[in-house]
Amino acid sequence: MASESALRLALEPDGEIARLVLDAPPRNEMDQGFFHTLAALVRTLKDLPVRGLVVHGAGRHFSSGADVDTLKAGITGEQPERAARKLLDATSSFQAIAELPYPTVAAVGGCCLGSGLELALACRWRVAAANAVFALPETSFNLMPGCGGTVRLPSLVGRGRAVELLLSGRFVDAAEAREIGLVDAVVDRRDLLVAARRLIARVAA
Amino acid sequence: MKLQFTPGADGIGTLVLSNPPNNTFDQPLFAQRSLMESILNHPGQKALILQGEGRHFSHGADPEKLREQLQSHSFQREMDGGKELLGLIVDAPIPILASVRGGCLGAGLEIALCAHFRFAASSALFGFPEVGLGLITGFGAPLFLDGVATRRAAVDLLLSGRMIGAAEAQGLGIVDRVCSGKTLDDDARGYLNGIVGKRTVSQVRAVMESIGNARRLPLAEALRRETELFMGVARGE
Repeated sequence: MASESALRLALEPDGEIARLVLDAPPRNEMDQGFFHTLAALVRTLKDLPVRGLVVHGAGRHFSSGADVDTLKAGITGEQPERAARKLLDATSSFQAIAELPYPTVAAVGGCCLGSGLELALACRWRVAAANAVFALPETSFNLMPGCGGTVRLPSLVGRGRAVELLLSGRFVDAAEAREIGLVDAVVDRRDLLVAARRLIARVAA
Repeated sequence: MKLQFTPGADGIGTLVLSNPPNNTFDQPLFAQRSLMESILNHPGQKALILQGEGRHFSHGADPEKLREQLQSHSFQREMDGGKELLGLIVDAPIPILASVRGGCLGAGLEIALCAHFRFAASSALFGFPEVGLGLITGFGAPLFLDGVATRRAAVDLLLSGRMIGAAEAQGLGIVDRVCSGKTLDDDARGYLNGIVGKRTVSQVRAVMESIGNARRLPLAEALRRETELFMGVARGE
C-alpha cells in the first residue's frame, strides 16, 4: 500500500549535504505514496541551506521505477485525466529536482529502471556502482517513458543512442553507461555514497 | 539524383540514392520536399535504411554541375531547400540507418550524418573532398549533431579533405558499426529490427517525436508534450 516512508529526506551530520532516500527496499518501487511524498519534499528541498543533494536507494537497488500494471490500470480506467494529472505532477517533481539551486547527484547501485532512471536523469550528475544496471523498458510494456526520460536522455547520450535505448528498452550495465555518457563515474559499490559526497564537495567548493 | 523508396513488409523500408555510378547530387535541392515527406511518413513503416545504388553510397555534389549553378539567382534558395531535406531526415518520425558501401563523400557524408545510425562495409571511405576543389561543405557538415565527432576530428576532416577508412571513421565516432560487405544489409536490417521489431508504429512515432522535441521545444513544453504522447500510446492510439 502507499506508504509515506517510501521516500525520506535525511541530513548528513555536518548539515552540508542532504540525502533523498528511496526507502522501500528491496526494489524501492515508486508507488503513489512515493510521488505524493516527493511532491511535498521538493518544496522543502528548494530552500534547504545545503551544499548539495545525493539521491539514492535504501539497500542494494536505486529503484525499479513505477509498477506497470498499476500505471496501466490508472490510464485505461475510468479517469484517464486523473492519470495524466498524476503523470504531470511526477514530471513536475522531477523537474523541481533538476532546478534545485545546488549540485545534485544520483548515487546508483543495482537496478535503475523506468521512472527510477528518469529521476536519476533529473539530477545534475550520476555516479554508479559497478553492479548498476540502467534501462527505460517502458516501450517493452507497450508504453513509453512519461517523466522526462525521452526529453533528458538525448542530451546525455546523443540522438542515435537515445533512439536505440528508448525503442529497444534494453539494459545497460555500469561500464557501458559510463562509456556512452549516461553516468559520470563508476565506483566500487561500497564507495558509492562517499564518491557522491566527494563529487559535491568538489563542484561546490 | 532519384530517390527510390521501397516500403518493407517488416516495417523497415529502404531508400536508395540513385544516380549511378557515384550517386552524385546534380543540384542542391536533390528531391522535392513533398516526396521526402511522403517517404518518411509512409504508413506502417517503423524504420528506414538509407543506401546508395550499386558500389557507392554517394560521392556528393557533382563539382562541374555545382560550378554552373553557382551563377544562378536561385542558388541560395536551392541550398536552403537541400538543407531542409537534410533537416527532415534529422527530425524523421522513424529511425534511419545509413548503410554505407564504397565512397561516402561530401554531401553524401553530410546526408549520412543526419541519419540516426551509420553502419559501414569495411571497404567504405569517408571524407569531405570539397577543400581540394577550392570549396567548402555546403550542407552544414553535421558532425556535431549527436556529439559524434570531436572538434579536433571535425577540423582535421574538413580542412585536410583526407579520406578515411571505415575503421578510422568508427574510431572517430562517425560510424557505429563496421561490417563485412557481405553481411552489411543483413546486419543493418537486423539491428533496426532489434530496435523497432516489437514496437507499434504509434510507439515509434511518439518516442521519435519526443526525442526531437527535446531539441525543438523549450524544456517545459517538451516535458508536457511527452505526457500527452505517453497517454496516447498507453491508450493504444
